[in-house]
Parts: sequence; C-alpha cells; structure tokens
Amino acid sequence: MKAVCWYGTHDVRVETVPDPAILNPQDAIVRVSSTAICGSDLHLFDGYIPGMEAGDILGHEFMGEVVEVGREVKTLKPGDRVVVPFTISCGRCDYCRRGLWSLCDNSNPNAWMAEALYGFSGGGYYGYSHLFGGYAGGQAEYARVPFADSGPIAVPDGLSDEQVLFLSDVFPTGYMAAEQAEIKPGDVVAIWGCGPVGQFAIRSAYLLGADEVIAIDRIPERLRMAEAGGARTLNYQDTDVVEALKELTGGRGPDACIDAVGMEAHGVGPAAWFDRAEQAVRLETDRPTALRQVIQACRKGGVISVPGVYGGFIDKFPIGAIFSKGLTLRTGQTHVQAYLRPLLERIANGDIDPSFIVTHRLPLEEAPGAYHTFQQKEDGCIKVVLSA
Amino acid sequence: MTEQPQPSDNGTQPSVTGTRGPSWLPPVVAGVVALSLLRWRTLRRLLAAGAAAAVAYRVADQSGLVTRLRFGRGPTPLTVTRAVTIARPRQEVYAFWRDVTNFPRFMHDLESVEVTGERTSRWVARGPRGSRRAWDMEMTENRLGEVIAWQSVAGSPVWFRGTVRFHDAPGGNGTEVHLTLARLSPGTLGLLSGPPPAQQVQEDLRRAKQLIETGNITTTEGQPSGPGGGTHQVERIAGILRRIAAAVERARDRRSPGETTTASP
Repeated sequence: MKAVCWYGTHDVRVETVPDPAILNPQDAIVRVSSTAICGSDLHLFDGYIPGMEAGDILGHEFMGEVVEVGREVKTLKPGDRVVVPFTISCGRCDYCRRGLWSLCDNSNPNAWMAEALYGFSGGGYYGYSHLFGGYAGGQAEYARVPFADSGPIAVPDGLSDEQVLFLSDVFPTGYMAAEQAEIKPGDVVAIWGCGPVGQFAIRSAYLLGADEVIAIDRIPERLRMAEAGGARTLNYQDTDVVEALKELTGGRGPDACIDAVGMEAHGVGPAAWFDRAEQAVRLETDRPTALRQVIQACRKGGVISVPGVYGGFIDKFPIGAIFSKGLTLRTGQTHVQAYLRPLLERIANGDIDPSFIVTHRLPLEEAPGAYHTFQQKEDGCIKVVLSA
Repeated sequence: MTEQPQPSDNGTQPSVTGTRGPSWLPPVVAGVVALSLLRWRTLRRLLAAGAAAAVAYRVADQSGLVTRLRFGRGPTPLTVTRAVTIARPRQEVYAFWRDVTNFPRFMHDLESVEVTGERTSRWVARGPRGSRRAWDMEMTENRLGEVIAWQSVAGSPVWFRGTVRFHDAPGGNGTEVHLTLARLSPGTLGLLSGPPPAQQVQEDLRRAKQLIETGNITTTEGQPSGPGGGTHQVERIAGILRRIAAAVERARDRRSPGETTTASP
C-alpha cells in the first residue's frame, strides 16, 4: 500500500510499504477513505518531537471502512464506516474507565520512554513518534487500529467524510479546550491561535455559552475564518494583545484564555527572538511565547486551557503571574473517545458543520507538497484533507 | 515505584556526622598541593593513568568482578521491588499470579515454566548468546489473595527468588501488586551477573497488567514502515540506555548490599 513516511526534518515521502496486519486479537484494519494533516504533525515535520525513526508512517486523523477484525473484536464488523480517534485507549484500565482516555495505562508499548521524560506515560497515538507508542499512522491506504472496541465510532452514511473526519482530533480537541476553560454564560474567552484547533475552540466556546470570543493570530485568512465563526479578532503583529484585551473587556481581562498555539509559537519583539534562539540551541525544547502572553492577559481567578501541544521544557515560565492572580491551568491530550458521541450528535443536528475548516483537498500521493504548503501557511492553507 | 529499603550494613559505613569539616577536604587539599608541585608532563601521564584505571574499573565492575572481589566467593543476592496497580479485584489478580505458567507471557527472558508438582515448577530462561538455563523453583509461601513467594531449589544453577504481595488499592480501585525479585546466575567466565534491572522488573509488571486488564500484550511488532527505515534506531538507543541504567543501578545496589544470608548458587 501507499503510505506517508517520515524520513527526517522536512523530509516526508510517499512510499510503498507492506499492508498492515492484525497483530492482536482486538485489532481491526481500516481502509482509509480520508485522512488529514494535523498542526501537530508539523511538530514532527519540523523535527521538534523526539523518538521519530526513518520510515515511520505519519497521520493520526483518519477514517474509513473496516475491512478486517481480530477475533476478540465485538463492536465492529467489516463494512462499517468509522472515524478513528487519534488516542489509542484500552478501555479497561482505571484511566479509560474514568473517561481520561488519552491517559490510558496500557496502550503505549514504549511507556518506559515517556516515563523517563515525564514520570508517567500517557497512552499511545497513531503516527506520533516512538515516545507515544510508535504506532504506524493513518496517512496511508490502510491502518491497523488496536483496541478496536474502544476507539472507532460508526458514522451514518448521510454525513460526508469532511463533516465527520475531524471527530478524530481537532473538533474534540477544540471542544475539550473550551470545556476545560469552564465557560459560563456571560464569559469573555480569548483564544490564541486560529489554526484548526483554535477555529473549533471558537465555535465550541459559543456552543458552551460564551458571551464573546476574541481570537488572536497574524494570518489574514485565519483571522477571517475566526470572524466567520463569530469571533472578534486581534492581529498580534500590529496590536499590543494584552492591552487590547484589557480594553475590550472593560479593564478586567478575559475570563478564560485558550492557548491553541503550542510549542512552535511565533511572536514579535525580544521575547520571541529569545525563545527562538533558546530553542535553536536546545536551551528549551518548546517556545512558550504565546503561553506567556496568555498568562499575562488572563483576568484574576481566570482559567487557562492549553490544547496546544508542548513536548519538553520551557524557559521563563511566569509562575508568579499564575500564583498571584490565582489562575487555574488545565491541559492535556484530548480524551477523544469521551466526545465522539456528543459531537457526532451536534454534527447530525446541524449545530456545526466541521467541513468549513477544509482549504485543501489532495490525493495521498501529494502529501509531501501539502506538508510544505501547510507548514509555510502558503496558499491560504488551514487544513489539508488527503484522500487515500 | 520505590526501591525496597535495604537493611543497612551496620558498622561498615563510617558515620558522616560528628567529623570535623567535610571528609573530602583533606584529600582534595593534599591533591591540589601535590599537583602544584608536579611538572605538566607528569600531570598529563597521571591523568591518563587515572582515566585508564577508571575504564578498567568500569569493565571489571560490569563483569561482576568487583562484586566478587568485594564480597568474596559467595553471591550477593540483590533485590528489586516495583509496584503496579491493576484495575481488577484482588482474588482475580492473585489467581493470575498463582498460575506460574502465566509467567513466560510477561517475564523478560523467561522461555517456559512447567508445573512439576504441587509446589514445584521447572523454569527455562534465555541466557546470553542464545544459551538456555533451566532450574527448579519451589513455592515457599502462599497466602490466598495476599502473598506468593518462590525460590529456586538448593543446587540450582541459578539463584532466584520472587515475592509478590497483593493489597486493595484505595477506594476499591483495583489491586496493588508489589513484586520483589532477586536473582543471581553465573555469566561470562563464571562471573556473577547482577540482579534483574529495575527497569526490566517494571516492564514485566507492565506486561502483566496489560494481560490481566486487556487480555493481550500491547505491541507494534510486525507493523509496516517505509523502506530503508525500520533501523530500530530508537530501540537501539533504548537498549544502550537500559544497559547504562542497569549498570548504574547495580553500582548503587552494591554500595548498600541487601540480604547477604542466602544460599549459594
């Protein structure tokens, strides 16, 4: 089969590889119909996530048709059309049973690596480095889906691939970000980053009752898409964001702030350049340029929600501001399985049509160019869907 | 995940408290004075000799020679304890561990276990360079739902002891499993090999948890990857790191030897 393989920083190739096989009796094999490139795939593309190996198959947002199931799989059968959550979860451990699916105890076969780095290991993810399990990803014609009874969700034929594909990651990720921001009616929510997760966070914040959403980015088409979602926008390149947010909130500051940017933040001024330099010489692995601003801008007693991916260490983290303002910090990989059903319902009732996010539709073979376009934010690229 | 507290070796460790000034100060002062009197070439030679001695010591240490020299002919059984919580009732977890034939499914290097009697079983383990080693184990303790212990019978080529204890996790959230392993076996040139590295015990427990909770061991073995890939660079680096970690652990354990009372291999 054809698969998108990682060979190094900025080196992604479409290669012919063996078809995946059932390795455990709880596995299923899915013939991929649509798969997307995620902003977090760019962290792999840019070489910021450790534990990648030449030849690793990328991709963690995919859907398709079940073609084979292991003998212990009970809820799926060949022919089912499913969306696969990016989080691989056993469904039996204490974390899964408490709904903290991305923290599964059993799904990372390389758990010791993450343990060495983080103290404990979360679950495994598709196509996201050996640190997180080393699973072959879904940017391929076929994918092996472990723990098939506690992941994939069957989707009705009446909904198109582009309407349901983003249940695999970015829609639940944006939604959980908004949910973790503990939005109450009347709240003003500020969201840094208008990529796909930010876009879904904007819409989710309104679904959860936010009074107003203010979105921050610098790319014109992303700001326009945020405005189309009902957000007021700020371009951080020509605005002092912290001051502007104060002004827009009557001097209080936003009630909840969401960092949908993560480890490769851009910024302006000396602090941003400082982070770039430190990351370049590995004094810090992640650039917290956006996160610092989020913390600075948040009102007293507010909540900060971080769906943006961080992998390692950051410098000059303003813990004093968090402490002095009594902020709450909520983070973590998305517990996708917890959101599949409620969000599929939202899509089915027409509360939201996630296909608005798609700007590029390409065949799988054109993935290397698509990574480049997405990374450079060329050609108005916000979300790429590859058809396998 | 705690190391078993090791009983201290009374009398052999000089007490640090009560001495005047730090104990490292006099040798350092003497060393600085001596070095200042030496010529540069002599100094270089001394440094080179020191480095060579350090390398030689590492090699000797790795091979177990140091242990043997320090503790005489007898073995120095060293224990490793690790714990995991399994989201199943205590009796079920106990029943899994009570059946020794389950062990090769999750224990590192263990190839097979055959039940040979009410309390006895024959264990076969993979050794270095494709070798195999077989020995008989006897259950020495068994309290329903609480503890099981095994020990290699006298005269076995391998000295091995394992104890597993079960406790209810707080709030009825499953069962805590505390596994203590001690093992010694002759390695290269008959020198002692060390105890199982703690990392390995941790991995064994992790696999046991996967088996009990999900019925299978989580794997990616056999999945596709792109051509020219599959160099298993990560696994290779991991192997090196594991060996270093095991060596460090062994060195640390040696400084505080545990039970030294047990049978000879």
